Amino acid sequence: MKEFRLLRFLLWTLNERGAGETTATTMTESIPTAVSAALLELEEGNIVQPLVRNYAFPGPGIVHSTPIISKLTSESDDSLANQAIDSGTYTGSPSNATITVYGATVFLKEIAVLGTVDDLMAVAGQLIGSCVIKKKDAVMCALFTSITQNEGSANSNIGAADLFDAYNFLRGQIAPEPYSLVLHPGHIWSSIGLVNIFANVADSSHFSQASAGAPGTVGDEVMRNGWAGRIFGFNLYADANIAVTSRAGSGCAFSRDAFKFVPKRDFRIDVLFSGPEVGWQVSGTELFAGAVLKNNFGDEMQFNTSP
Amino acid sequence: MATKRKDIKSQDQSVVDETLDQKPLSQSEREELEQLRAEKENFDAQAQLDSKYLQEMQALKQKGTAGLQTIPVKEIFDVKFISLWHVSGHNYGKRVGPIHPAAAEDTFLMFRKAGIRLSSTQPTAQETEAYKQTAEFKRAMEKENVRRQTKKGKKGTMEKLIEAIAQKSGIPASQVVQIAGKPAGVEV
Repeated sequence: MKEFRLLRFLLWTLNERGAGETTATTMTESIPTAVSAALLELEEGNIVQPLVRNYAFPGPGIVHSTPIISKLTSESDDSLANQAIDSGTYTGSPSNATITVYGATVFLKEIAVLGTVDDLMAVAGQLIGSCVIKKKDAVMCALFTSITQNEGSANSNIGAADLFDAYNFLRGQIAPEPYSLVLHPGHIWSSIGLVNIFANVADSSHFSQASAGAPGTVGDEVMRNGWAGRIFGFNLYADANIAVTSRAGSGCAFSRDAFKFVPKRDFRIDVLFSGPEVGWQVSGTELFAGAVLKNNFGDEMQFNTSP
Repeated sequence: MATKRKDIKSQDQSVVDETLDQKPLSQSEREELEQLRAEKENFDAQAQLDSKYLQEMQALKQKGTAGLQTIPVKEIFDVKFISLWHVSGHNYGKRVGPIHPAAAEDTFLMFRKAGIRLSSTQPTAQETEAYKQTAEFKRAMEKENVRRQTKKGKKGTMEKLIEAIAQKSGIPASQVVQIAGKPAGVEV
């Protein structure tokens, strides 16, 4: 009787569970979870890359080179040396971008994976995604200091005249619109930032601006919402990945062709189990490069970010 | 006869003091007072012990779980980015980058064509101070100051008013502002 009951129990177990079936999901099967969490971070934090010229770089090679062709000039006479098609006087260099590996590795201990009700693969994806996007955006922001034209300087505060001059410079270089203005949040919202130009507050600290006739409706919009989105002809973006040194940070006013972003291989997640460390090494990597494309299509905005 | 205390701040305190002064404590009241004092001392001692116990527990938990409740994140990159530094002009010591080493060469040439010298070595504080004494730096700063002053340009009503008062009264503009109380954002 006992053997019969045991046999019946075993048959029931097999029927319910199935031979070879496991209740635990493997980490490899969870890769899509990590990728989707990472991609969300990549999209949310990606500020500069969508604003610049993107060049796909399939095939072999790791140096992406963009030749610069000088503009045709109209000449005043028809001598051979001065024909309109003469572009031999340009002495600039092509724009080169060298592909580099960027990524992050997260180590998930097995005991943590088994002992938590949270989806640690999603957490890993989120951590990797935020690390990769911060690095990508920081790489692009660091290129702002590679622009030779600088509207500001160390220890100076941003003002309306700086934006006018930046717009004037870009139009003078015949840079195509739209123009983007990427600034550190301190350039915009600190007590020495751009919002002070529009502050429509009738108190002593803003008396000079208000009495000079600050635009009432824009000022109301700024005071209500924090910002209106565009300023003096620029599409305005705030990027906290701009490095600040001694209170000064360098944003940039630029046309799309000022910089280039060259993706070589899209974001990918790899999972490897480490026996000695009893856990999974989850790595997320992306291959890309960024470089200055046309120096004269950008204007560095180096100003103080805090008083 | 005990005199009433006249320097008491609160009414309750004055009532207590009048009571204490006017009638001596009975034996039972003295005993109750002593008991209250003893209870207060015990309470203070116990509170100190509790605090020390909590601190020990916290330290124990931290030592026992150090490193286990974190998920380490390590960056991956195959090249070390480098920075270039301005070694001429009013922006002496300003960083360019960090950028890819291959891009650094192109950047170096681009700035050189624009008349700005860069270096891969960050200038020291002494070198910066020494450069600030040179005629080249002073010329560059003078030019930059003129540029910044031109950008400030158009003055608001307040600045014009202060200048007009200073001109009429003969008092320097900075003193006019000090008398009135300096509004923030106004530069004179």
